[in-house]
Amino acid sequence: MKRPPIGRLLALLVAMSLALGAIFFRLAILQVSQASELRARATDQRLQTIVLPAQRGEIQDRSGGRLALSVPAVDVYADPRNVEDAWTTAIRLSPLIGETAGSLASKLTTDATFVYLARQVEVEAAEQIDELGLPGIGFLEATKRFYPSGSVASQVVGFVGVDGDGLAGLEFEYQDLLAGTPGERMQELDPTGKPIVGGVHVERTPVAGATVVTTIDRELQFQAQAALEEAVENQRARRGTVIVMDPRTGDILAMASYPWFDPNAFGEALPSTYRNRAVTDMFEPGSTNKVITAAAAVQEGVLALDQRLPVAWTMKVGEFTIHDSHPHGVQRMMLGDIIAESSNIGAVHVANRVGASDMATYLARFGLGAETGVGFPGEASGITVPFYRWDEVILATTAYGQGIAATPLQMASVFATIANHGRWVQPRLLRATIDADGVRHDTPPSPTRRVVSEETARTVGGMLAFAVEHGTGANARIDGYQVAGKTGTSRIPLKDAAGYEVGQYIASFIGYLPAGDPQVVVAAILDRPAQGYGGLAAAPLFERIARAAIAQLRIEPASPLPPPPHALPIR
Amino acid sequence: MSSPARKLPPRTPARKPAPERGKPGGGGGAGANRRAQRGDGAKRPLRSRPRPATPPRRRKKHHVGFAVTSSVLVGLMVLGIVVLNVLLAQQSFHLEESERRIDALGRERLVLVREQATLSAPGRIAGWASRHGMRLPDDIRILRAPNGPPDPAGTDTSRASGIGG
Repeated sequence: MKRPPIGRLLALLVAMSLALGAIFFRLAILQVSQASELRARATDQRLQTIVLPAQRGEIQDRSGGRLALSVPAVDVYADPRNVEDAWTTAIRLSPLIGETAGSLASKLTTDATFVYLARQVEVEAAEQIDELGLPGIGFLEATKRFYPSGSVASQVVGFVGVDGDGLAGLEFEYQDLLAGTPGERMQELDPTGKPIVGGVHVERTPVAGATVVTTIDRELQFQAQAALEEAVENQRARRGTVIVMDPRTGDILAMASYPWFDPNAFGEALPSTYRNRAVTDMFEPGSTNKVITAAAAVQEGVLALDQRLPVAWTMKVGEFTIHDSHPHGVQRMMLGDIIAESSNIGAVHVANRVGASDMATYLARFGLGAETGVGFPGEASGITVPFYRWDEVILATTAYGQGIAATPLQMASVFATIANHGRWVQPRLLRATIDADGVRHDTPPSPTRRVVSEETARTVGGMLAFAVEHGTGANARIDGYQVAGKTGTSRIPLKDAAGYEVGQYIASFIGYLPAGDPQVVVAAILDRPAQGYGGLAAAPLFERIARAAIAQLRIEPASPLPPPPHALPIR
Repeated sequence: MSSPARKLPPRTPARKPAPERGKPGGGGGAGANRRAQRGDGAKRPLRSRPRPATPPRRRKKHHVGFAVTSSVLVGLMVLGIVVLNVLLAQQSFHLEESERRIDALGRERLVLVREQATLSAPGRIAGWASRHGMRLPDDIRILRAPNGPPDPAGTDTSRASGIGG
């Protein structure tokens, strides 16, 4: 009997063992070390995840009037591979999309599988496009931000980009609140791309964004803007800014800068019109700053109210000569006269008695040189001179509001402090939020701090009322109401050099009413008006807006404040 | 002493052996005999204690009843499954229809909200009022009822009198 070939059998056994071992080794790699990765890849092939966008929250005014909302829209796209005749398609789409046929044709002939033809198209227009039955044209559901009031409060509200992200204003500031949380739908698809019945189907519902309720009063905002536009046009001013504020709560009822823009077509507007200059831009406040000088003097008791100061029309301070707005002989003025006549020289005398240290302290206490924290992107902090650099010139110019810079909102807050019985209240734009479940969350009251005593505030208020009734602010008077306020006519610093523009001014009037029970503060500022003075150009604007506020807010007259001691004859 | 072998008479009447399977006329073999013996054994009690045989018609009736019941049961089950399926399908159609309706109502709501917001915009109202000859009042008048709260300013504001002076 022939013996089997042991060697060959062994060789075969070894070969088979090696082959099996290799298979097991590969299997181990696939099943163990690469298992999770391969499982994920397999899942990716079968599962499709669709992001479900969340409805963006609304922006409302204080009464629930809508300032911004999202409405259904459609994105129109093309798959150029499936487009039969690019030019015919482009010509037929052009009037419906509002883009030139040439531009559309170039998109339709690109070497791509997906190209947007138009985004955020109105639903009606998309339906008309759909009815054309053009091959290679598809539609995606989308939303579009809509601002029903157009340019009303546009610089406050801001706008969003085509991707739905806030780019300016409150849309940007409260992006996280407004955007909500997108949802997700995960489903298992068959090789043809159809959902498998009974397969994986996980859906996470999107959570809509919260509604932001602002402190803005839409009607008052509209009237303030109408008055501002007319004033800028009449005065041939470069621009203007208005603020209407509740001094008790810090609520900003209206805020605008002209020229403004329509957020529904922000791409067509100049980017400079996007700026909310009431918050982001600074100006030298001029004589409106004398209210701080007066408050510091009264609070510190450095000057009796009936004390007369000799006020010439010019004064040498260091190497500079400062002067009043109009030539006059040496007058013996009381503090009330200095405020009513808006005397720069008188203010310097008062500031010299207060001293640099206390003046710097009161500027800071009134909030100059620091952001108000109103809750708006890009807020400027203003410019005040560091105390270690103060000298007699800085003290003198600060007394009448030159050499420092403040935002219109900071200056409105200064007057709101006097109106609010000496207590500074942080201004605010956010009144409440309403979450996706409809639950309203009111914003807590704004932080406050005591700046001057109630008595000081009342005394200074009397001076401001006197300034309107018998001083430079006569054009701000409103029959039946006692108005307290101060004019400002400030020089404009050169941009790239030391010194000021010649013959150009910023005219302002900031005040409140009724003086005895203040309920609204109005700041009116015009940049380079034809009638340069605050009392001539800005006070009438204040008066018109204050009238609108009285009607809109149902403000009743209050007991008038007594006039301060005064020496000059009443006008 | 042993007697010579003799043929015992068969206990049972001789039966014709069953033909061998596959072989016509062939003997049944041992298997066939066993079946034959079992068959005899089975018939024995009937013979010893005869009972009235079940009539073939009744047995057939029983089978028919069983078949009918089974058929009815199976039919009912099939019907039940079909009905359940139909109900499920119907529910899913209702669900889909409801979802579609919710979507449509949501879109309609957004359109109405947009329309309301547009119509209530102050610029539109002011424009409409202006076209109809309306304008803002020149002065502010506050009218007080005879028995109403006193005027805090202490002035007769119904005539818009100035207080500064």
